Amino acid sequence: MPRRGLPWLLGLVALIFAACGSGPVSDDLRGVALAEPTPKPDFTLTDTAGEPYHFAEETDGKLTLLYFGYTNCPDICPVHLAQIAETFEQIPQLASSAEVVFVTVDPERDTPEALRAFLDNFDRRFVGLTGTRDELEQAQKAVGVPVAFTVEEDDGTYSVQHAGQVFAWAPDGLLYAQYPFGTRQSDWLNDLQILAEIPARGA
Amino acid sequence: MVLALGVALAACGSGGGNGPSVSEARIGEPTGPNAALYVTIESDQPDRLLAVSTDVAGTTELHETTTGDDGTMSMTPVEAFEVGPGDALVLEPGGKHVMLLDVDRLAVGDEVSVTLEFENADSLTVDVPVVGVIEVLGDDHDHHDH
Repeated sequence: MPRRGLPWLLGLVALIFAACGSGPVSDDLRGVALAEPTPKPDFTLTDTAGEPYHFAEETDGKLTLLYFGYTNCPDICPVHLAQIAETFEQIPQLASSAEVVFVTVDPERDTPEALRAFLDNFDRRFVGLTGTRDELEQAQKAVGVPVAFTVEEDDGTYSVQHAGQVFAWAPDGLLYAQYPFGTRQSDWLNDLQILAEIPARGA
Repeated sequence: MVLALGVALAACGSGGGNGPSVSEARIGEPTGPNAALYVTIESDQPDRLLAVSTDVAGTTELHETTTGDDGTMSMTPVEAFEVGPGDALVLEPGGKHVMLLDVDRLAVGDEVSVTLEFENADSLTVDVPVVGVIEVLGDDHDHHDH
């Protein structure tokens, strides 16, 4: 065999080993992996077009990313969304099989229009959801995050304390990992590709 | 690029030699009503950053984002940030920052004049570049750690 065939052969062997996969998916993930993947919760909220959005049904079979935030948040909320959008720009086929859902925890200020304008800064495909205080609380409980609450400041403004991590369900409907603020761009790139490859159940 | 600008700004700002000097100043492109300003400030003398003013925002506040054990993040207004010898004040995403409320429409590449007010030192006016949302993480945002 010519010498230059060797790297190619090694590459093939590596690929076969990678495909066989010796460990669970979580070994290759760089996010905060769950010891046991958990099923997707169900809740219904309202999208920016005013239509009901059944989370489990709408995201069925898709790589699903969920984040609770608010549009007045200038520090961490935009960074998460920009990182996801950047990953989609790098791997466009990821975006076509994924659903990115941003749920407001500040329904008074985040009108459907404000939500849409905010999300369009990142990707027009991102879904924005709102609801009554009660509905939003149910959604957060269903996902298992501490319910966000409002902190009043002396000058009459307020901020919202909320879960800071993004949740990622693979197409099989299982939550494999969470992504806290500070997740590197290369980690998003690595993990979203791995998660997108997990086939939907029955597929 | 941001770093180069920061160095240039630091050179401008350090006039007195031992007063505060700033580097890596940047504003994230606004995606809503508010934006955040990040900067690193060094000073040979103990001092406090008391306030930040700029024409492009309705008001500004000094804030600190903190993460709880349960992953909950909260933003708290702070009266002043300490800066002193050997202890650079680093404002960065997910931590201390200056919140610009009711901010004007700004685009990547814009330069914003910002005045930093200190307890002891003279105030400093610097031109701060507006950068993309991911770029606020800094030059090596791919190696960003907390």
